[in-house]
Amino acid sequence: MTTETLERSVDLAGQTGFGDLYARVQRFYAHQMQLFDLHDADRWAATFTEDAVFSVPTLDAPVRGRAGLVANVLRNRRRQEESGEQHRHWIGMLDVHPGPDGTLRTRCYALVYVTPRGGGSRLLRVCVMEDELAPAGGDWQTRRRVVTRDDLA
Amino acid sequence: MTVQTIGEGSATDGTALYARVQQFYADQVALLDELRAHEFAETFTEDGVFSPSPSVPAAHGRAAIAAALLAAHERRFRSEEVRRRHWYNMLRVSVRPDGALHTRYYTLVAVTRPWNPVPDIGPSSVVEDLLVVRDGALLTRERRVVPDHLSF
Repeated sequence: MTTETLERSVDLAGQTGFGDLYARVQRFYAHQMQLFDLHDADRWAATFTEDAVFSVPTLDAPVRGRAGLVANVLRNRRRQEESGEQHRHWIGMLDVHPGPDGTLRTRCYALVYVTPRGGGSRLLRVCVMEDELAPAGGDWQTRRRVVTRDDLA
Repeated sequence: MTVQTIGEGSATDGTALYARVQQFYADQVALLDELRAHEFAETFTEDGVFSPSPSVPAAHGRAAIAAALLAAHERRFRSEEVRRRHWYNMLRVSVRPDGALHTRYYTLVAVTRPWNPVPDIGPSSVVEDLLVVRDGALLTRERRVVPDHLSF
């Protein structure tokens, strides 16, 4: 980023470049969630670090590493093919906190909408998602994710 | 770099562009939800294409887009008073080699009727757009909407 744009992006709170960072994190999640909903298992898993840990209340134990993440997406795909439902993950109210060494801690709400084949859409779940993001070649990878579901919390 | 062609600073990573596209959609969706069909159609290029569903023919050109929007609304709601809010989320933007933007995002529609506080949540859909820059402004050249219930 040039000095000129840095100066322009100094916001009222005096956080130089925060708007830029925030937009980049929004893009990261849009990309990651679309890959997830497309069941693009390998590309989705590549948005996590090799040693990522993923905790969701529906799994007995946290998933560790990309192979486990891939298996999880393929299982979701099979289930949705059987049930004839399409899921869409909506992220909002994203809270981004820069940490040391380019890492980020984020917290957001996630809504899951489901649409059955030929039917109406409905809100399936309300979740909270907390991530640790590690810098990776100008972008990030999720190193640790904890998802809680409001109905199970 | 392509980002500069729409004139918003010189962000090298496209985040200014990303915010710009969000702003474009916020403006455009207000026209859509207020059923200002002709103004909505003007956010498309002259030769713009709007395909609201794979199950109906696409509208070509601004006059056809405006007419299709009004006809679809009347078909679905007749004279019923409703307020519609289209909600876009999970936006992806990529710049094509020719400078056009390819976007892909999720949409929902909340439909509210007078004196009923509980809205209907309309079809979850995936939209893909081709956006181009004309005289410094973004315009939609092509929009293809695929509702999830028809996407299997």
